[in-house]
Amino acid sequence: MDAQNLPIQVIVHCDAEGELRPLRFRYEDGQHQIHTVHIEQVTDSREVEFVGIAAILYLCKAKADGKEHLYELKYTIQTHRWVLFRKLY
Amino acid sequence: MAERIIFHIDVNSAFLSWTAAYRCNVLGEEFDLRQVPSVIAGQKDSRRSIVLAKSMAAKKYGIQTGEPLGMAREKCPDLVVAEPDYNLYISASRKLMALLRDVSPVVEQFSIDEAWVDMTGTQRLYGSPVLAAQWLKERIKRELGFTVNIGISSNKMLAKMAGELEKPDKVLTLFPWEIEEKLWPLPVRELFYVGNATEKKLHRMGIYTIGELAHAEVGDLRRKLHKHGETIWHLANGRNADPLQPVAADNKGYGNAMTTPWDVTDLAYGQQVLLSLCETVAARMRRDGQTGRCVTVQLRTSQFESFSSQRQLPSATNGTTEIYEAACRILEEIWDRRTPLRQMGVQLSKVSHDSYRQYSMFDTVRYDRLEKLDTAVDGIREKYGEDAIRRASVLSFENPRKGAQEVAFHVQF
Repeated sequence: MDAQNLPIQVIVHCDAEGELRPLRFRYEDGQHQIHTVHIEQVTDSREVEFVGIAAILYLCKAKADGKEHLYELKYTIQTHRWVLFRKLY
Repeated sequence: MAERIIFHIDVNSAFLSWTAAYRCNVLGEEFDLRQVPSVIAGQKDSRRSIVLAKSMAAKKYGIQTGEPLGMAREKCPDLVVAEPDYNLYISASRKLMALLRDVSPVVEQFSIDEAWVDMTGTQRLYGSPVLAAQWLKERIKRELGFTVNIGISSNKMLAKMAGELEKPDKVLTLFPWEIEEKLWPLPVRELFYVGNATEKKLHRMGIYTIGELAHAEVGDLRRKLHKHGETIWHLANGRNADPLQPVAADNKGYGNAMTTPWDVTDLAYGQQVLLSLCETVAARMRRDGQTGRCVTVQLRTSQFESFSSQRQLPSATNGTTEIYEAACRILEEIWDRRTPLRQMGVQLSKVSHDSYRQYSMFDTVRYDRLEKLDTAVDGIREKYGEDAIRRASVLSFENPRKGAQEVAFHVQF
């Protein structure tokens, strides 16, 4: 399946060591509905540098309508942009 | 001293790999350009579009790098075409070179996608050469997302030849004791430094394979091909002692050429093209602090016939106006003003660092003022972009057919 790559607005916590932790993000779906997601836990993060483009991937758990979801967010370091890379479930 | 170990690293169909890796790994697309017949070529302008890189599948259709896109489409109707993205290629290339410098301090970058790495004496760090190369190849694939070929030998040329033997994603060796088996059966064309002209001469001497070249009389080669004959004879025998040059050498010449959107048939248009070429060439030389003495103009007609001529300047220069004037004189000499021209190029050679100028009693131009003008223009362009300041004469040139619109959008100076 192709990744979604949806641009998102994010509230991020940055600690004194420079570690980023996304707390909340907001995106617009195909029906132009705005969704706000409260992240409960960042289960994993890793840095990638494919074709020289440095980015950090975050696996984030969140609950919506009583169901648990897992999102993969991507932060591109050079452009400072966040995208919802894909929704795993 | 231990035997030299040189790696030659070459990205497999670089531009295509980089675009494919970007789409798969960065954008997360499933579809991989590398798995289907595909090429990298500009699509906006079919007249000037040429194949910049091809996938292995496209190669099977006989598509060659450098051929017009239209011809490639004829060979393979289902060809997938992707636009080039030069910023991406520069970023990928930089990262690759940084990774190589991380592995060994002696790295010579040969082009955007090729480099030699001196691995002499790194056995205790990375293990034996073949294992080290395999590790490096996998590391590049894992971290950067594209495949490379690594050629291993004890000198630069053999390492490069090793990397060409088989593709893609391979580690290959070509040590001097292997050349008889691996290198000598190949056609002489495959040897580095043997191009079209040399190949023809060698064929006339009855030399068709690298092995035959290696066994030829060096005296004969020297008579027919001069110094070059001896160089390729040594190469065919696997001898080459060129050291790696971690710091890039100065450019030997500066040039720029363009295929015009439509054929050049009148002098005014030709001069405008020349002016635009001279501007880029001169600006690049000024950026590097170089001056040149010999101006060459190359022309290619709509029938793909090429000719060129050169002229020495009284004093080395990097001023746009001076180069342009010389180029115009050459153009008037060698062009009949009727034959449609498809491509024009300007080159400056005999480059030096000299910053003095030989004034002449007959100078009609005040060169110091032109120099100040060039410096000012370079400064403005660096700060505000290439389009911030232009010559009024090129305003209508980019597209005469919509010239009026063009002019309307640019401030005139």
